[in-house]
Amino acid sequence: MRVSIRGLRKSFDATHVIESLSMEFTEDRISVLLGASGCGKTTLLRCIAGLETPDGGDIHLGERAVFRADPPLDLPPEQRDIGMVFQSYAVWPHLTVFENVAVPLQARRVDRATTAKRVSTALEAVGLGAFADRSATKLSGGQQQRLALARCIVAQSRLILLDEPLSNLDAGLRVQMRSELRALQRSLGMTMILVTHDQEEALSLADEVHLLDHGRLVQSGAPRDLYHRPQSRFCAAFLGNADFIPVRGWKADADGLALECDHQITLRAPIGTAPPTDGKFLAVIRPEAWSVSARHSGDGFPGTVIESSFLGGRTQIRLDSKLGQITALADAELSPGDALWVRAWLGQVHFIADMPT
Amino acid sequence: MRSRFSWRSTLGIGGLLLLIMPLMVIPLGLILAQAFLVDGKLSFGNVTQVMGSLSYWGSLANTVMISLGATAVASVLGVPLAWLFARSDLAGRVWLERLAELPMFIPPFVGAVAWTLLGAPRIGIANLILRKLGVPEFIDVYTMRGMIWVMGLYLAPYVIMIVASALRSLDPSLEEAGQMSGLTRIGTARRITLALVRPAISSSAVLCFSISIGLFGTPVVLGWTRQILVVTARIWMSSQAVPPDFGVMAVLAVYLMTLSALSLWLQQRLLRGRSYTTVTGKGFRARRLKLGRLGAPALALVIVYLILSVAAPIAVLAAAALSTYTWSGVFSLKTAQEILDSDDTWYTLRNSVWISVVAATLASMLGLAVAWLRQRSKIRGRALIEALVLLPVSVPGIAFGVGVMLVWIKVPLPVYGTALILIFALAGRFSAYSVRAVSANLMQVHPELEEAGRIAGLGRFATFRRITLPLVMPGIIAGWVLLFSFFITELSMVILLYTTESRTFSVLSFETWNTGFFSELAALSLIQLAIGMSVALGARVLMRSGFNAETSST
Repeated sequence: MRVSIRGLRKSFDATHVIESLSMEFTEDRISVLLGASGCGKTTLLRCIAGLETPDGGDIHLGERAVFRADPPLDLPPEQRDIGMVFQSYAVWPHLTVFENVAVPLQARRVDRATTAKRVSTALEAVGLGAFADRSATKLSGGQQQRLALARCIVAQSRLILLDEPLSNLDAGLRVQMRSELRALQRSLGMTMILVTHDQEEALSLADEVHLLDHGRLVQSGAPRDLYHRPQSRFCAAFLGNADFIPVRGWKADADGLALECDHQITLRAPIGTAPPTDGKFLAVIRPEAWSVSARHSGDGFPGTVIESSFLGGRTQIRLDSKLGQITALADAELSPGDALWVRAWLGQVHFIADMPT
Repeated sequence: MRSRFSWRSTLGIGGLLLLIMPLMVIPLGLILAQAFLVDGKLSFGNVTQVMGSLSYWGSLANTVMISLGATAVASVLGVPLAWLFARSDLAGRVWLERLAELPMFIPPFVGAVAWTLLGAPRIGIANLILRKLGVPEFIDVYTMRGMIWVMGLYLAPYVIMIVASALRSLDPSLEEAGQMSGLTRIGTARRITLALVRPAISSSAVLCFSISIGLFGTPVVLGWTRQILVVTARIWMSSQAVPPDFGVMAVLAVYLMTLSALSLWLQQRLLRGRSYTTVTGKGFRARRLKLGRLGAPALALVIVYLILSVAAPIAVLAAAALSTYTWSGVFSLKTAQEILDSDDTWYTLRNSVWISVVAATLASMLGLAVAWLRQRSKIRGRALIEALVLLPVSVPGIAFGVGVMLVWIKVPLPVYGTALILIFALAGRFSAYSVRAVSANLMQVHPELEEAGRIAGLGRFATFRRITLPLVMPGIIAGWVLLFSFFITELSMVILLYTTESRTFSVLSFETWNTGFFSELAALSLIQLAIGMSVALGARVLMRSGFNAETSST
C-alpha cells in the first residue's frame, strides 16, 4: 500500500515538529524513517497511525484519504487498518500470548475458528508457536518483540508501522531480528515503515531510506544512494564517517578525474565518477575510499596518525595532513605519532556544493 | 490515547460536573455562604456570635492544643518505631510492623471507648489494679492529657507508615558518604538520615494534625465528663439544638477548614525548595543497623506500643462485653446474646453495609472517571476538575457534613433525611482516595498499551473496556476496599446527617455510649473493631496474593 503525505504540519505547543512535509512511501517495500531524536520521525509515524492529529496537510493510504485538513477528515486509528509495533512493544500484560494476538481479529469480528487458525499461523511465523498459552509478561524482551510483531501481522494489514522496534534489544538479537523482519516482509509483501535513529539499521534493513531533520525531509533514496551520493553535508555525515575536501578545479583524462585541492595536492577519482557541476564544491570521501601505506609511494601526501581505534576487522585512524584531518582505514596496527603516506588515488567519490554550514 | 474535542466528551464532562458540583463544591460554598451571609447580604452576625463567646474560643483552643499534643505524641512514638522497622535489625520487625499498622483500622470512637474502660478514674481497670496495689490512682483519660495520649496513640501508625517508607527509599550510599566524611554513626543518623526524612516527618505531622482537628468520637467520649469540648463536639451540639443553629455550625466549620488550610500552608512553607528526591529507582537493600545490646529494650518498646494500642483495648473490650456489671467479676454471654438477638443491631448493621457499598462504588466510579480524565484526556480544565475532587478530603469530616446538610435541606429532592445524603456525603468527601489509587495505577500503564488497542482495531470505548479497565482494576479494588473500611465505621459526618431510617451501626454504638450501657457498648465496639480490621486485613491478603503483580509492560 502506497503512503503519501502532502504538506503535513504538526506542532506541539509552540514547537514545530513537522513543517510542510511532502513525501511518498513506495508500495510493498521496507521504508526507513531515519533521523536524530527530535527530528519528527516518530511524530510522522504516529500521524500516519492516527495517534496524533496533524495541524494541516493530508495523508493517503493507497487511494484512501485518512487525514485531510480541508474538508476536515480524521479517521481514528481503528478505522485505518494498519499494524503497529511500539517501542515499548505494548504487550498487554493481562492477556496471554494467544489472546494478545487475537485482539485485532476479534475487533474485525473474525469468527472463532478462523481466529484460532490465523493466530497460530502468526505465532508460528515469529517463532512463538509453543508459547500461545503463556502469560505475556512471562516472555523475555526478544519474545515480547516477536509477540508484538505477530499481533501486527495477524490482521494481514497492507501497512505496518514500526517505532524503533529494535532499540531495546541487545546487539546480537538486533542483527538477527533485522534479517527476520526482512524475511517477514518478503514473504508477506506488505508496506513496512520503520522508524530508527540508527544509521546502520537503516542501511541494512531498508529498501528506501528517508532522512529527516527538524521536521523536514533531507533526502530519500536507496541506502546505497544515500551513502554514496548524499546531496548534503548533513546526509553524508549522518550516514557514516566522511571527509569533506574542498576542490578548486578539475580535469577529466583517460584515468578519470584529476582534482586540484589546496596546497598543490591533486587527488584522483576513478573512471566513471560524475564530475562536479559549477560553483564551489566539496569532495565527499568515505574512510574506505582513502588508501594509506607506511611507505612513500607515488602521488599523494604525508599524514600523521593522531588517533587509532581498533574495530575488529580493521583499524580506523584519524590523520593530520595538509588537507586537514582525514579518516581512513588501515590493516596494520598503528599508534598516534606514526607517519603514513596517503595515496592520491581514491575509491568512490561524490561531490556536493560547498555551502556555508 | 488523548481524546479530541467532541460533543461526546462535552457531554461526559458535563455529566461529571453535574456530580462533582453538588457532591463536592457546593457543600463547601454553602458553608461560607451560611457563615457570612444573612438573607443574601454579607453579614458578620454569625461570626460575631461565635467570636463573642468565650466558650467557643475555649473549644478552639482545646482543638488546637489537643491536636498539637496528639501530633507530638504520634511523632515521638512513630519516628523511632519507623526507624526500628526500616533501618534496624530488630527481631521480628516484618511482623511487628504489620501489627503496628493495625491501630489505623481501629475506629477512633472504639479506641476511645476501650481507653475509657482502661483508664477512666475509679472504674478504669488500670486504676482498679493500682488501687489493689495500694498505689494512688494517677491515670485519668478524662483530661486533656488523656485525650492527647489516646489520640496520639492511634495516629502513630500514620507517622510510622510515611516515615518508614521514606527511610526505605533513602539511598544508603548517602549515609555511607556521611560516614566516609568522618561523621559518627549517631552523627550520620542525626545530620544525614534524619535531615533527609524531615520532609516525610513534617508531612506525617501535618496529616496527624489535620486528622486530629476533625476527630469527633475520641474527644467527645473522653472529654464529655469534664466538658472538655472541642470544635467538632460544639458542631454536634449545635446540630442537636432545636432548631439546629446552622449559622454557628457553619462558622465552626469555617474554623476547622481554616485550621486545616493553615496546616497545609505551613507544610508547603516548610518544604519549600526542599525536594529531596533521593529515589533513584535503582534497587538497593537498605542497610540495617545492628542494635546489639539495645535490641531487647527496642523490642520491649514496640511490644509496649502494641499492647497499649491493640492488645489491651481488645482484651478490655472483650472482658467488658462479657461482664454482667461493671467489673463485677461475673462473666456471661448474656449481653452478647442480647446484642445478637436485637433487631436494632442487625438493622443498623445492614444499613451500614449497604450504605458503605453504594458509597464506595459511587466514589470508585467517580475516581476512575476523574483519574482517566486527568491522565489520559486532553480536555481543557482537567486539572481543575481533579483539584475540585481532591479538595473535600482536606476538609474535616464534620465540617464537610455541615456543608452537605446545608445543600440538601434546600433542595426539594428526597435526599435530606434519607440514606442518600449519607452516601453523597461519604462519596463526596472520600472520592479523592479513589482518584489517587486509580491515578497511581494508571500512571504505570504505558499509554502505548492503549494505543495498541486502537491500532488493533478497537474503538475508544472498546479499548477502555478491554485494555484500560482490566489494567487499572487492582487500583480500583484497592481504593474501594479502603473506602469501605472507612465508611463502615464513619461517625463524624454520619452523626450530623442520619435519621431514624438511615441509622448506621456507628450511630447505634454512639447512642449506646450516650445512654451509658457499659457492657453493650463494649460488645458493639468489639463488633465495629472486628469489621474494620477484617476488611483491612482482607484487603491486604487480596493485594499480597499477587493481585496487582504486573500491571505495566516492560
